[in-house]
Amino acid sequence: MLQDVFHTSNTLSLDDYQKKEYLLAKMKDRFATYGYRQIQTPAFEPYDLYQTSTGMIHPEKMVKVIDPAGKVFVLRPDVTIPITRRAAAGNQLDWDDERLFYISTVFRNASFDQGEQMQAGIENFGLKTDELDAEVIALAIHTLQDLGFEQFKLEIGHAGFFKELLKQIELSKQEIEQLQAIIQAKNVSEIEAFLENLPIQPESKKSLLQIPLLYGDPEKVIKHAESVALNNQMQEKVTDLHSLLEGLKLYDAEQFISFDLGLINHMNYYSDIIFQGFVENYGKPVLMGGRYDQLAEQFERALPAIGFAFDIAAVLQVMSQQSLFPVMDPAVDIQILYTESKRREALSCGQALRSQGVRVRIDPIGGEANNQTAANVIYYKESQNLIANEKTSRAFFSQAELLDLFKEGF
Amino acid sequence: MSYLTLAMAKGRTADQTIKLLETAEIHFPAFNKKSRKLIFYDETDSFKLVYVKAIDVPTYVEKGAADIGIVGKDNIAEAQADVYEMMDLRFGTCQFVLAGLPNTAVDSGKKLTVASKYPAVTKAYFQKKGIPMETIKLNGSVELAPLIGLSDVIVDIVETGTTLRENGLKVIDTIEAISTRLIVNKASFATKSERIHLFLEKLNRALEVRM
Repeated sequence: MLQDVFHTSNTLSLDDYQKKEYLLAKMKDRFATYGYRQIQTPAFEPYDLYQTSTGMIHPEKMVKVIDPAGKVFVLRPDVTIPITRRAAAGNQLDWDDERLFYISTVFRNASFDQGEQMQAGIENFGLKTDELDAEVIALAIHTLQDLGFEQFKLEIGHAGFFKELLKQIELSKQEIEQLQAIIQAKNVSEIEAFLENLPIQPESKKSLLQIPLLYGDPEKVIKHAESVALNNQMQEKVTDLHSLLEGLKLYDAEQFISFDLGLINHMNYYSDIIFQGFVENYGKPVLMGGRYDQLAEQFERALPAIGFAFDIAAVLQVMSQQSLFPVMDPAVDIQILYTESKRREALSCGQALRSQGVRVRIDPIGGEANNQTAANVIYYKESQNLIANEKTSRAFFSQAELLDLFKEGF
Repeated sequence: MSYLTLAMAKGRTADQTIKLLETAEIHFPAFNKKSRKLIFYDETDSFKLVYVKAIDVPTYVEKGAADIGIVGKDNIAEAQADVYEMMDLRFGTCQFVLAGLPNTAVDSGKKLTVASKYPAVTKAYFQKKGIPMETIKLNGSVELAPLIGLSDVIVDIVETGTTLRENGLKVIDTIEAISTRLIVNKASFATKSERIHLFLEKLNRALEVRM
């Protein structure tokens, strides 16, 4: 039984844990520079919350817990929904409540190594503007750069474009799902055969056939999409993308973006701009996000919002793959070994060093901890006091003398 | 410059894939099916070809070990890999079929036992039909299963139907048409979009020449 625990991928080694902390710190710092403040939502949430939020998370995928009174709770299956609910519940959203970031674990019913997923992301409840959309995408790019990635792309699409097109045709739920799967796979060879047998106007059919091809260079996609749009609503979405592109140019972000109108996110709450971030040689997106203006309406509030989240396990894996982590500090800088008669001296020296922020381990000589692992070792022996590292060693008499040796960079 | 990595399926479609690549003026001079080598480079040193088992091609591409894969739809459907399926190369055609002994009823309401090399495809098919069933995963000679009572029916790929006929089995339903497809890793598609696009265009032209 015990063994099982160590088989889940969530059991990180200490080194991996340190790396994870490193990358989370980078993200937090970057989010903060755009005015975001950290928030945490409860791990246990009422099941009802997710039942009334229609079509967002499949009930089977949530981890359910029953309290002694028989009330059903779920383990946080999503972060955006509870944060939105919180934002919607406030009467007046304070200016500094508009920008929130989180580092949270979400739980899903899945095999054990995928059931627990850490996400770090932001939610922005400001007004709906192109400027804000551009800034949020710029923040995602900025964060990826902070982590050390050079070869990455944000694919930007528009959930509304495809939704408007779907309104023009009448298909069953199952047919729509199949159609979405084909478009998501950019399966140009199968979409034609699939559409052939459906009762769709030739005009709509022509547009649907073009959807998987609407990807690549933003300017070209916009031109192409204009010719595919069937009505004003669809034209408007193309105009949205055009304004976004102009905004992103001001952040010098063009080289990091491409457009893809065949991008369909599995979370139904996205309403407008959607995007996902890919880094080289990793098949899955490391970040996903988009605008979800209607989500708050489920909580009886009109509240436009945009956000994104990083998949931390994915980021950790690619950063390790691409050697983007600096050499991590060892756990201990100095080990102090003492003989019993000099214990007081050794402790006093150790505490002085710790006060200065040096990481110290203090152990008796001859104990089990004598295998040298620290770069520097201080010996308090009967005959003399000694400080040693791989290259050299020096005797010292007083603690003051030792601290001076350190200042000189022993 | 880094290589564009192609994962090519071993087996019946390899020759046609190499021919198609040659029509597209991408040559792998050292390639030889009988060689034990698994990695080959093209003359211009811009493509790397990895020669792997067909069933593994979707995995190579999904995980990003290869940018592009060339493999049969049967393996793509079975692997359920999260990749772009961007071209139908129109060779290596055959069909997924449901087959069994004559007079086998599939919708009798009784739980069906199905033998197949493709359990994922099999499950998806029966789920769609709403027929309760149980799969038995076999790795070869699937036709044998209904003959000796291991299963009621089988799901397998069929090119001409000869094997089925010789074993006294009949096609009950055609599930899906299969041909060789070109799949693309989603991250490569985003980060190396230009090169992949050029490659696809070349292949498209080559396909037209061959038609």
